[in-house]
Amino acid sequence: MTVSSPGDNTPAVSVRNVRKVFRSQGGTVAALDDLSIDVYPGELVVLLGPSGCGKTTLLRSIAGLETPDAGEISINSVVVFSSATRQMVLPEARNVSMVFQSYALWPHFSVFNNVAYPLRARGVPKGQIAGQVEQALDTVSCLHLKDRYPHQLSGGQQQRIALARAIVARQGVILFDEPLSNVDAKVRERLRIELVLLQRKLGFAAVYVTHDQTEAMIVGDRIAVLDRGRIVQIGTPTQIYNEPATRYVADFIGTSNFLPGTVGAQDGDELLVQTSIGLARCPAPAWPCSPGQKVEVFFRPEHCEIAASLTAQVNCWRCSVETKVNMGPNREYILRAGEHRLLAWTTSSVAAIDEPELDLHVPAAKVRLLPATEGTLPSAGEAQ
Amino acid sequence: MARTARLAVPWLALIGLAAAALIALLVAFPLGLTVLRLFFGEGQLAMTGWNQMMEEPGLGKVLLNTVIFVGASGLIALAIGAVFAWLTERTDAGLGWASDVVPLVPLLLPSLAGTVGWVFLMAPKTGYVNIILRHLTGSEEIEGPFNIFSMAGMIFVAAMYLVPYAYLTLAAALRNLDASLEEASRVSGGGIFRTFFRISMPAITPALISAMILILMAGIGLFSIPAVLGTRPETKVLSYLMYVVVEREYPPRIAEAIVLSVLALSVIQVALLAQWLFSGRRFQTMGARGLARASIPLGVWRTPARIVMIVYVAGAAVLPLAALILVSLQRFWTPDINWGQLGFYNYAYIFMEKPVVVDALKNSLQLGLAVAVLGMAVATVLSYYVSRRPGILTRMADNVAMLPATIPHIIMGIAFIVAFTPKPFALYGTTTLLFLAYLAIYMPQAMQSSKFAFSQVSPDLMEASRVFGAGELKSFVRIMMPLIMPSTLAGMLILAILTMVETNASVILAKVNNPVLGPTLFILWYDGLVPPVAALSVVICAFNGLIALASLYLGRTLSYGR
Repeated sequence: MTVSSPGDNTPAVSVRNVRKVFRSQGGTVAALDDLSIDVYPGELVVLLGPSGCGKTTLLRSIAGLETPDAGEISINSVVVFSSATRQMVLPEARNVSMVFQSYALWPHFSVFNNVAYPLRARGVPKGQIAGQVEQALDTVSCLHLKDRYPHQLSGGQQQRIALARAIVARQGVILFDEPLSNVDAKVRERLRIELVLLQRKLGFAAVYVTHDQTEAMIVGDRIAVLDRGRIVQIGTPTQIYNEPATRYVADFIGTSNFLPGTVGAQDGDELLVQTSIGLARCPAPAWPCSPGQKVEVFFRPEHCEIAASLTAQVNCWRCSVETKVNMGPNREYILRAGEHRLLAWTTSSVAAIDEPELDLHVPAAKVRLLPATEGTLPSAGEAQ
Repeated sequence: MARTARLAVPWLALIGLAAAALIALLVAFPLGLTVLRLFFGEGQLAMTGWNQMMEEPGLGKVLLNTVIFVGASGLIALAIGAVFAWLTERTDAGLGWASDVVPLVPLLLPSLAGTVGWVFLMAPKTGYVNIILRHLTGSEEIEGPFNIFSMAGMIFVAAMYLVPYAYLTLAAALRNLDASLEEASRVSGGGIFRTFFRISMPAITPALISAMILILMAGIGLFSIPAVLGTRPETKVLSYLMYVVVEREYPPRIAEAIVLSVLALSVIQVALLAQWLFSGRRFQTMGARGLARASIPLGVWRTPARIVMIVYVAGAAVLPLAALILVSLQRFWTPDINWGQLGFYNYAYIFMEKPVVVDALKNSLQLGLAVAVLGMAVATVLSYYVSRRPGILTRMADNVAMLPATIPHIIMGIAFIVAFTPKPFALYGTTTLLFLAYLAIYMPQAMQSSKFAFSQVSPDLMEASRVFGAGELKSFVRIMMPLIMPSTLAGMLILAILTMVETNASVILAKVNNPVLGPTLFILWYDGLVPPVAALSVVICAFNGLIALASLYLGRTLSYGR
C-alpha cells in the first residue's frame, strides 16, 4: 500500500476542536487547546513535543482512555466522541490498537495468549485465532517466543510482542505512546526502522507520540509539533526541518542559530535585516512583515561555511572561536560574534581550522526569517 | 452502536455502593450511636455514666497510670523503632531479614501469649531470668531482681509490642529520603550521631508524628498486657477499667463504659486534629525519586548495632516463646526444670478434657476464614471503586472504612454492644456479632492489603485490555483478578491470623456459648491453669507462624517474575 496524500480520501482519525483542561490546585492547565488534526489511511503522523505539551493526552483521547471536555473525534468516519451530542464510545468499542510506553504485556499470559487477547475479546472464531496469532508473531520475527512469558523476554522482544498484539486484529488505526523510549539506544535504532517498514507493508494509519526529534524525523510521514495543547506546525519532516514556522519549532528540531534583528529594506525577493553584528540578507518570508518589525534570523549550523578569511559580501560575519568539538561525522565550532553564540559544522574529514578568529558565511537562500515572539504566527494551525 | 460511559458501569457503581453501605452499617452506625448515646441517652444515660465514672474509686489514679503507661512505653518504642529503622534503611548494619521479622513479631506472638511468656521469665520468685540472675550473683533473696507485675514491667512489655508501629512508619519514610542529604552531612564532617539527630530524624518529622499517633492509638488499646500484669489498683489503666465495668461487674455499667470510651476517643481525635493542623505548614517530604539506597558505613559501630538488633528480636519473640514452650511441657508450673518429666500432658489436657478450647479453636478458625474472605472481597470492591471513581462520596466511604484503625478494639466492642443489642438486631452474645465486629475492626487492614494489591498492577494493563476490546467487567476478571490474586491471598491470610487471635474486643463480645481463642486463653489464665495456657499459646503461635510463612511465600513467589 502506498502512502496516501492528505485530502484525497476520508481521514482514518479526525480530531476536531478538542479541548481538555486539567485542574490542579490554584489553576487550570489546558492540555488540549482547541486542537484539530486529521490522520489519513496508511499514513504515520508523529505528535512531537516536550513533556506536558498535550501529545499523550491527545493520544489517550483518541483511544478513549481520556474524555475530552469539548470537541469531536471520529475514527473511520464513526463519531467516537462528541461533546455536542454527548457521545462517548468506550475504548473497547473503538476499533483501534495501541502500543503502550510500558508495553503493558499481561504478565500472567504467555506471549501467545497476549497476542491472542484482542482476537478473543472481539469474538474471532476459535479456529482462526492460532493462525492469525502466529502470522502476527512471524511478522515481528518472534514466532519462536510464543510459549514464553513476558518476564522471560528482553526489552526489545517485549516491544515486538506489543507490536504483534497491536497488528494482530488488523484494526487499521494503531496508536503508539512513546513505544521505543524504554529500550536501549542500539535496539531503538533497529526497531524504529523495522517499525517503519512494517507500517509501510501493512498500511495501517498510525498516530505516534514521541519527544525524540530524531525518531520523529525517521518514522513520520508527517510531524505535528505541539506546544501547550496546540499544534504549532504540521508537515513532512523535510518541511518541518527546513521551513520551521516559529523559533519554538526550529529550536525543537535539530540545532539552530538565531540572531534577533529588525526588518530593513526590501531588495527584490530578498529582505535586509539589521542585527547587532551587521546586516543579514534572506528571502522574504511568506508571512507579512514590514520594515521596523522585530524578527529572528535563523539558520542551521550545517549550512554555515567557515574559513580563516572569506570574501563573501553578504551574511558574512567575523567570529572568535570559543572551542571546537569533534562529534564524529561532524566537527562543531562554537563561535562568538558580538554577544551571540553561533554554531557551525564542517565534516570532520576536513582539516580543523586552528585560528582564534574566522569568517562565517551563510548563503542567503539558507537563511529564514521567523517572527520575533514565538506562537504569534497566524497560520500556526495547518501549514498545508 | 455507541455504548456510553454512563450506561456501561452500573455493575461497578452498584457493587461499590453496596460495599460502602455495608461499611457504613458496620463502622459509622455503631460508633455514631455510641457517641450520640452520650448526649441523647435513654433515662439520662449521659448523667448516669458520668456519675458512675466519677464515683469510680481511684479514677484519677487510673488516668495517671494510663498516661504513664502509654507515654513511657510509647517513647521507648519510638526510640527503638527510629534507631532500628535508620540502621536497617540507611546504614550498612542492616540485617536483611530483620526488616521482615520485626513487623511480624506481634503477629507471630499474640500479646497475651507474649505477656504470659514474660511472666515465666520475670515473675519475681519463679521467673527464669530472675532465678538465673540470683544464681549468678549468689543472692540469698527469694525474689527479684525483676518484677514483671509492676508498672515498669508493663511498660517494658508494651514497648516491645509498640516498636513495630514506629519501625514500619519510619522505615518507609527513611527509604524514600534522598541519600544525598545524609551524604552531604557526612562529607561536611558530621559524625554518625550528628547525622542521625540533625539530618535524618528532622527530615522525616511528619513520619515521626504519624508514628507517635499510631503508638498513642495502639497504646491506649493495649489490653492483654495490663490485664495480665496490672490488675492491682495501683497499676490499673483505662483499657482494663473498661473491661472491668462491662464484663466483671454485675450489672454491667455500659453507661460508664461509653463515657470512658468517648473520653479515650477524644484524646485520639485531638491528637489526629493536631497532626492535621501541624502538617498544614508542611515539612517538604523528600522526593521518592527511586534513588539508590543509601548505605552509611558505621565502622566500629556496625557490630554493636547488629548485636542490639538481634537482642531485640530475641527479647521480643524468641525468649518468651522459649519460656512458653518450656512451661507448656511441664506438669506443673515450677521454676525447677526436671528435664526427664517434660511431656505433652497439657496439650492432651486442653484438647481432650477442655471442650471449650476445642470449640474456641473451631469457632476462631471459622470466623478467621469468613472474615478473611468476606473482608478482602468487600475491601477489593471498595478500593477499586475508590480508585476508579474519585469523588466526595467514595472518599467518605474510604475514610469510614479506615476509621476503625484509630479506635481501640475494646471500644469497638463496646460500640457493637450498644448498637446491636437492641431490636431489630438483638445480636448480643451471638457469633454473628463477633463476625460483624471483626469485619469492622479489620476493615482498615483489608483496605490496606487490597490497595497494596492494586498498586502492584500498572494501570496500563487494564487500559490495554480495554483498548484491545474487552469491557470493564471482562477486563477486571481476565486481567486484574489474576494479577491481584497473590497479594489478595496474602492479605486474606494476615486477616485470618489477626481475627483468630483477636482478644480485646472478643473478651467483651464472646460469651459462654460462642467461645473464641483470645478470651478462652484469658479465662484459662484467670482460672490459674498456667501450663495449659502455655500449651494453647504455643499451638496458636505455631499455627500463626505457618500462616505467616505461607503469606510471605505467596507475596514473593507468585508475583509473575516481577
